[in-house]
Formats: sequence, C-alpha cells, structure tokens
Amino acid sequence: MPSLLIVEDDASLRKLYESEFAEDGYVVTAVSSGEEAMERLRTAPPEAVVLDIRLGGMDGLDVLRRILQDKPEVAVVLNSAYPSYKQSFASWSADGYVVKSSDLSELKHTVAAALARRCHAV
Amino acid sequence: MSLLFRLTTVLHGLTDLGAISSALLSTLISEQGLAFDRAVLFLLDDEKKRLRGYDAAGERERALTLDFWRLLDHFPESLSDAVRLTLDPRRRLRSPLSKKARRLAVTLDDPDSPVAEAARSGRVVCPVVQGHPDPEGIVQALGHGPWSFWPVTGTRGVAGVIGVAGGYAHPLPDTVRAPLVMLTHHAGLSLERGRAYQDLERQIAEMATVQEVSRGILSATNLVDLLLLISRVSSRVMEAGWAVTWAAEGPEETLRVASSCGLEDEGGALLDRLRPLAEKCSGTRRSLRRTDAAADGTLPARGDGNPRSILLVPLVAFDRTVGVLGVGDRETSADRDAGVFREADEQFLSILASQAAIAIKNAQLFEQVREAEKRLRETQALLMQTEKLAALGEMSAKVAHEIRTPLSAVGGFARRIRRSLADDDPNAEHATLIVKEIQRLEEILTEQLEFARLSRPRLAMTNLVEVVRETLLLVREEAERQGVAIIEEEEPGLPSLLLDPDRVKQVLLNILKNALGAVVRGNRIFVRTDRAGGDLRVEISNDGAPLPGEILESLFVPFATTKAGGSGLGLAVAHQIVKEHGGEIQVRTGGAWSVSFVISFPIRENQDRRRVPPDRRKGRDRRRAA
Repeated sequence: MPSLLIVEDDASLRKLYESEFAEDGYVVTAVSSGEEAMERLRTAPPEAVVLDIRLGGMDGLDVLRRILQDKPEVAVVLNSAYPSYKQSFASWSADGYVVKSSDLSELKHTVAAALARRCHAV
Repeated sequence: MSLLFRLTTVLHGLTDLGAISSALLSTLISEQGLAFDRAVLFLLDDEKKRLRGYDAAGERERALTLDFWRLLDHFPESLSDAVRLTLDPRRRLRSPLSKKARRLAVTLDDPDSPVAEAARSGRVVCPVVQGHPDPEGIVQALGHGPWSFWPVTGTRGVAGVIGVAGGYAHPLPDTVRAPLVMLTHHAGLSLERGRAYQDLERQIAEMATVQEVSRGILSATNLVDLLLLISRVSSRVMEAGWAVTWAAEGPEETLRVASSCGLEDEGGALLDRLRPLAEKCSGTRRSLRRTDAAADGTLPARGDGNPRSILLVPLVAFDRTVGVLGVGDRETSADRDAGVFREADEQFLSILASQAAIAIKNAQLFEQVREAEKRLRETQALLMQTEKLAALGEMSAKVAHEIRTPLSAVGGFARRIRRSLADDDPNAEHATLIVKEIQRLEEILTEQLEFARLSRPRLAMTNLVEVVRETLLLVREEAERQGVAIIEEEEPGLPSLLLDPDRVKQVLLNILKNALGAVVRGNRIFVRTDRAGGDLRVEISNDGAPLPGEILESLFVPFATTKAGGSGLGLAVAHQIVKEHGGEIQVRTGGAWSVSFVISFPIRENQDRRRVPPDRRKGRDRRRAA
C-alpha cells in the first residue's frame, strides 16, 4: 500500500482527501501546516505528498524545496487554488500540479502517475 | 476780393478733397471772386504720370455755390455746416460739366498739352486761344476759351493744374493775375492736405477692414472654411471679380487650388493657365501684378474669360510658404483705373495675405492639436478601462481563491454522498445537482482567474499560425460533437510576432467558444490567418444565428452575458488581451458569414526590440524615417 501525506490547511478539504485516498487504498496521513509536514517527513517519510501551496506558516514551495533536498525519492503533487503557480519555476520540479477542484479524478490520476514513474525509476 | 481772403481761411479748415475743389472753383467763377466764366481742376495722379480732370464749374455752379458764401456771411464760425449744407459732395458727381471734366486725362509728358506743360514747367501757360490745338479736348468738353493754365504747387511740387476761361481779355489784368497766383499757392497746399487726408482715410478704412477681416480669419479654425473665407474676403475688399487660394502641400510644396470665389465651374482652365504664375509667386515669395495680356505676354490674350488683370501674393507664415493668394479682374468703378490693380492694392493684399497665412498655419496646427487630443482621449478611455478591469481582476481573483478551496470540499463531499446512494434513491438526483452546480461555479472561477492573470504578460516570438492550430485542436472535438465543420485557411510565410502565446490562445479560445455557442448542427466555423497591410489578422466567422444589435454593443463589456452559464468575461478578456498587444478586435455582421470576429495584431508594434542594442536601434529608426 503506498503511503501518502496530505498537506492541506483547510480542514474540510483535508478530511475529503483523507477519506477519498484512503478509500482508494492509500495509507493516508494528513497534516495542516508546512512545519508538521517537515516533521512527518523526518520521522515517517511517505512515498508521495499532496502539497497545498498557500499554508499558514511555511509555504508549500518551501516544503517542496526541502523535500527535493532531503528526500528526492518522495513524489510531490502540488495542489493549489492558484493556477498561476503552475508557471512558477519552483513548481516545475514537482511531479505534478493540479488546480483544486471538487472533481478529484485529476488529482488522483496525477498522484498515481507520479508514483508509477517513481517505481519505474527505482 | 474779400471772397478771396475768406477763401484762404476757409481752405485751411477743409479736409475733404471735394469740398476744397468746390470752394476753389466757386471762388474762381463767382461774381464776388475772380468772376471767370469757366474753371477746371486737374489733379496729378499718385504715380505722377497723368493729369486727370477732377472737377469743373461754370454758370450753373456759380449760382449753386453762392449759397455757401452767403451762409458763411451769416454764420462765420459754422464752416462745417456750410460745407455740409451747400457744398453737397455729390454735386461734383452729378454736375454735367464736372462729368465732362472727369473724362479728361493727359499724360504728363505729352508735348502738345498746355495742361501738361503747365504742370511740367511750373509756369502759367497762356493764352490758349481759339483755334489752338486742343489735344485734351478741353475746348470741346468745357467750352471756348481762351483758356489759361495755372500750376497748383504744394510742398511736394506740382499737385495739379487749374484752368480758367472767359471773363477777361488776354493777357489777364494784374488785378486778376496777382490774386490768382496767390490762390494757386493756397490751393496747392489745401489740395495736398486734402489728398493726404483722403489717403489717410483710405488707409484707415483699409486697416479697419484688415483688422475686421483678420479677426474673422484668425477665429476660424476649420481649414476648409478658412480658405473659403480668405477667397471671399479678398475678392470683396479688393473689388475683384474673382479670388483664389492655392495651398502648398507636401515636402515639395506643390500648389493645389484650395478655394476659389467668383469663378465659374471652379475656374478650371483659367486656373491651369495661372498655375505657372502662382508657382513663380510661391517660389520667389514675391507678389506678382499683371495688368494685361499685352503688358508682358505672361497672360493669355484678353477676351473670352481671360483675366484683364491679376494680383498674386505669396502666403508666408513663420518663414514657410503655405500657399498663394490671387485676385483678378478688378471691377471698374468711377474713381479707379479701369480693372487694374495698383501698388497700394498690392500692399494691402500683402497685409491681408500675411494675416491669412498665419491663420492657415494656425488652423493646420489646430487640426493637429485636435487630432492629438482625440488620440489622447481614446488612450485615456482605454487606460481607464484597463485600470478598471485590472482592479476588477484583482478583486475577483482574491474572491475566487478564497472560494475555491471550500468549494472543492463541498463538491468533493457531494460526490462522495452521490456515490454512496443507490441510483434509485431520490437524494441521488439532488446530490448530482449539487455536484453539477459546483462544477459550474468552479468553471466560472477558472475564467475569473484567467481574467486576473491579465496584468502579467509573457512575451515570446510566436508563430501566430501555430497558435491558431493549437487552439483549434482544443475545440475540434467539441465542434465534431456538435456537428459543426471548422474550415481553416492560412496565408503562407507570415512573420513571427512578439506575443504572449498563452493569452492569444485564450483570446482565440474565447472567441471560438463564443462561436460554438452560436452555431447548430450543419453550420460552419471559418478561421483564416493572413496579413492585411501592417497587421496580422485572425478572422473567426460562423454562419450561425446573427447577433442582435444590442448584444453587439455590449459584446466586450465584462459580465454582460446572454449565454446561459457564461460568466460574461470571455470576450471582455479577449478584448483586453488584444488591446494589450496594441491590436484590436472588430466584429462584423451580415454578409457571407453572419458574424465575423477579426483580431488584428500590428506587426511593427509586436517586434522583439531587445535584440537590437539601443544605438543601433536609433540608427535603424532614422533610416526608416528617411
């Protein structure tokens, strides 16, 4: 079972992602801030992260940079309400970029594809 | 004799040439004066070439002018009243003898003329007896003499000649001779003064006209009206049969007839013949005065519509020739030489021309200012719209982002609920509704965010044809589903432009979506990319239902949608993006296609200038200007 870390500061959406990905068979952990995410990555690194960009303290792009440095093997899918970050240089190094939507199929598809690429690479 | 002394004082008080002449002649013929039978006054003309009969008096005038002296006897201080009441200025024009006198003219160098001889020599020429050659026709016109002619001398030489006849045998007795000599001296001074006043009055009148005309001309700012006004005014004040203005145009200062007045069928042939003269006038910046064809051969022979006389003056303002002003065919009047312009006329028209030239220059500048002002207003309006849209975009972006996250959660849970319900559960339909409505809200947010993105362009040298092709890929599937054919055309070899390809794609997509919303099965959408003048254009047309007029007007206004489910931003966004590229979107209705959107991007404004170093660019611009 692939392990997935959800980083999302909106409680409702966090709950939705938790339920949906769990149903799809992921081992899901959900946190609400960048700091918590870094902590989790240190103690129990997941195979993939769904990462919101606008977070309360440390933002998603900082978290992404740290992951690329410390845990480059972890797949990261950025998930934001802002389509504009798609063009941001930092976003290019993520495995995927999905604009938030009530329809989770694109997000799920992107996470699965990112994980599949990782497996091939390894 | 007392009358003679009174005359000397009276003459000093008179300024009107007609009154001076009347007082003078009446003294020569009245019983209380010198008691001649006839008297005539010749005046030397302005250019000192000819002596012209001015006035004459005889038996009839003797009675008429008697009242003048009688009135002065009773009211010695009321000279001006006496002149007004008894020396009727029109008398001279009505008197038959005076009329005959005015027809007399003699050139100053005529060797046979006793009048000319008196003026030339400054001495009395007498007697001219009966039977003597009568070159001027004086005897025939004014009666038998013997006549004697007395030069009238002022401070500037001879001013005229007085002729007297009858009443005495020749040689004249000293009692007549001495006072006559004295009288000619006074007359000389008075006539000189009278003429000076006459000139002064004419000049004042002319200046007043110039001033009035200038005010009129300078307040006219419409160039076409102004040029017409200049022609009209010139022909009127110059008493000319016609007037014309040529305007110097272009770097070559080519003359073009700008306005005319008094010429039939726009003066076609006549003005063609005058063109070389006008060009000469413009080239030399000197006025040209021609009296007749015979004078120098520059004008075609007189008759059938050819001008008798012309006067051309250059229109020069701020050291630039702006054109030529011409008048021709002076209308003949009693006091003027028939149909001829004189030096004073030339000076007068030159003054008028200098004012007119400044007015023309002003009007030209004013038109430039008006044009610049119009452009400024347009830019300002665009700027305001841009700012409004930018503010609107910022605000809507903020709202969109705030809403998107909770909306995703709501929609996501609604999907979960829908999935958990059996298809026949009545709540399943409700959950589906929630899912669909949220999807629609999310689509609106996506459009809003595109709108907010407008302020940050990402420019690259772009092949417009490729952008069109890529965009068509996105809509082709939808078009096929709707049963609508997309016809694609492109002109080969189009240049690349510096564009924001994503945004241009957005523009095309928005217009294509709009077109797909307007067509039904069997309709066609036509997309053509080509070059027109300095623009690259993309035309997107369809043969769907035509757009009603009121929709056309609000087509590019944000939120003014008529489409169910549309945000009303699509075309506003498209418009904004194209404007930012310096281009425009035109909408045409009717014709082969019911609606055509034509998007144009100016080629020159959308070039990559960063590649050219600043100094080289300057050089290139200069070459282009040359």
